[in-house]
Amino acid sequence: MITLRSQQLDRRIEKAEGAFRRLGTVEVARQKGTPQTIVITVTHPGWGALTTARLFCVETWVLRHALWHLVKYAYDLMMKPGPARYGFHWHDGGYHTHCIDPAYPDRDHHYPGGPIDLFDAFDRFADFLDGKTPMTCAGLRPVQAVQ
Amino acid sequence: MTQLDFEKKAFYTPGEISSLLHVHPSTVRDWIRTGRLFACHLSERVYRVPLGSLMEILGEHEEVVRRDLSPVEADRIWGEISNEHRTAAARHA
Repeated sequence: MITLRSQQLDRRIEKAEGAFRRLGTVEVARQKGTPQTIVITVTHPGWGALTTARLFCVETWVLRHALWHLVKYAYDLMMKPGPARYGFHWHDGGYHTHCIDPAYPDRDHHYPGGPIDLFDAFDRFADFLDGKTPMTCAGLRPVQAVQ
Repeated sequence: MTQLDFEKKAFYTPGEISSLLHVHPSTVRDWIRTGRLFACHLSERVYRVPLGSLMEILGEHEEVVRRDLSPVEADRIWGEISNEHRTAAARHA
């Protein structure tokens, strides 16, 4: 998992602000001290398109031996009109993916997942927003299938 | 701050950017290639420029709002995320 010096963590947040700003209005809420939770919310207004969206990225970092350790995260994209959602989570001891396919919103939306970096998640979200990738849950296996 | 009156939409072609800004199409392609203008690559030769990128190059991008997050708010957010996870996990138990 990611480990950063304080300056590197600050730069990571600045980089996220710069990248996310291209998609809409950005709010960064940052806790002081350790543990430090950082919440980045992006409101994507659609700019005349039919779809608007909200990105919600939460990370918690813990300072140990002068290094910040990422200990959990939740990266979510919620599209409107919905329900349509894609999210990458790591918390409570495991990775999982949330996916609500707008074509099948009643299906279970909880899938096993793996680690992903914030900026890789952002690229996936941007692909959904620009229509490059349709918002579907194709390729995800339901939790029951892997238990 | 640059003031331009133009149709707002989600994405623009490089040709539209060229017309809006009165620059040569090759200039727009250079901006994209060098990273000065962010564009989504739909395929090898097809690009679309988000309005946010256009605004950024015009210097009209939205400012980032920064604020402190209280420990109580952080706990509440993670509580909601964990609850949703527990509810989903219970359905599969």
